[in-house]
Amino acid sequence: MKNTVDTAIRRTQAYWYVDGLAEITVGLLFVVISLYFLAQARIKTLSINPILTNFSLLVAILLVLWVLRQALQAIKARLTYPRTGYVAAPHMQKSLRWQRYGITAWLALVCISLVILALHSQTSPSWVPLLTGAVIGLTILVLSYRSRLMRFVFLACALVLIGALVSFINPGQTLAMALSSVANGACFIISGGVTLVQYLHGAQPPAEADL
Amino acid sequence: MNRETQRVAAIDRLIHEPSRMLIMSILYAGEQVGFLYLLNETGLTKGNLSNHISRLEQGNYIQVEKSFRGKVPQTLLSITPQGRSAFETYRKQLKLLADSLPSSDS
Repeated sequence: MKNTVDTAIRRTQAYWYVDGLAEITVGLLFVVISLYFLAQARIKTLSINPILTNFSLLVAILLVLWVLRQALQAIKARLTYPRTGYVAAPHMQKSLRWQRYGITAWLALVCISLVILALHSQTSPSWVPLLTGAVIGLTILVLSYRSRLMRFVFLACALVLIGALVSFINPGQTLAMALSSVANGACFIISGGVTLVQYLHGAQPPAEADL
Repeated sequence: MNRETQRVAAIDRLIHEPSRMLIMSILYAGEQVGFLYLLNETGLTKGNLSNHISRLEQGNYIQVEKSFRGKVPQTLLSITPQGRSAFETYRKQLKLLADSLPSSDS
């Protein structure tokens, strides 16, 4: 009986990953970030005001993030809710919420510091993509544990491998970050895409309307 | 009445029914859940599910909101603070009960 309760809770907590759309969205965001790094490299070449253009690029990324979020909600309303039903964001106790904010802020600080170090260092540290991949991979691994979804374990391993490979190739500062971002994005998109296809085949909308 | 019997008697019978226990488990994990999701996860018939929902609503453990998503009517259910507290107590009671049972080796 306890197992039934725990299973029901975990399945509901994993609801947001049932259709793969969240992963596709994250993948697209990684692709946008890779374009940011490529734009950075181009800006350096053209000697355009770096502060203004960096700010503009960051604003553009935030705008894309907002658009992706709205698109995700709209697509879920069309595809997921009629098939699986609707579940709002899970309840979180205040203490856990602040813990999550703290961990997210810490991870963001580490990643941003590494990126700044990579972009502005005279000798490019080749280990930055590996470390970034490891940090993101660890986050996905935690997600895998919480949601009990095996595919996140494979995704985490892929992210670490990509980081290691890019670090080994060491194509240079900005190109390394662009390369690892687009590869990470591809992994997320493939994982989400396969999940979405399986989900659409397996879950059909009910014949009668919801009461 | 001995301690074990008291523990069994103290179990919240509104939640202890298997279908309602499943409903409460799902609502405990989700902030707000649609009727269709509950139907899929519990495997109950619509009538059966509606009955259990009514029982829980009468006990003030859940609240039911009927609204529209665009033009599509939807029924959204959420657990009340009283229901959340009752479910947490129920889980503790269940654990105590399970721990007090003799193991299969003895």
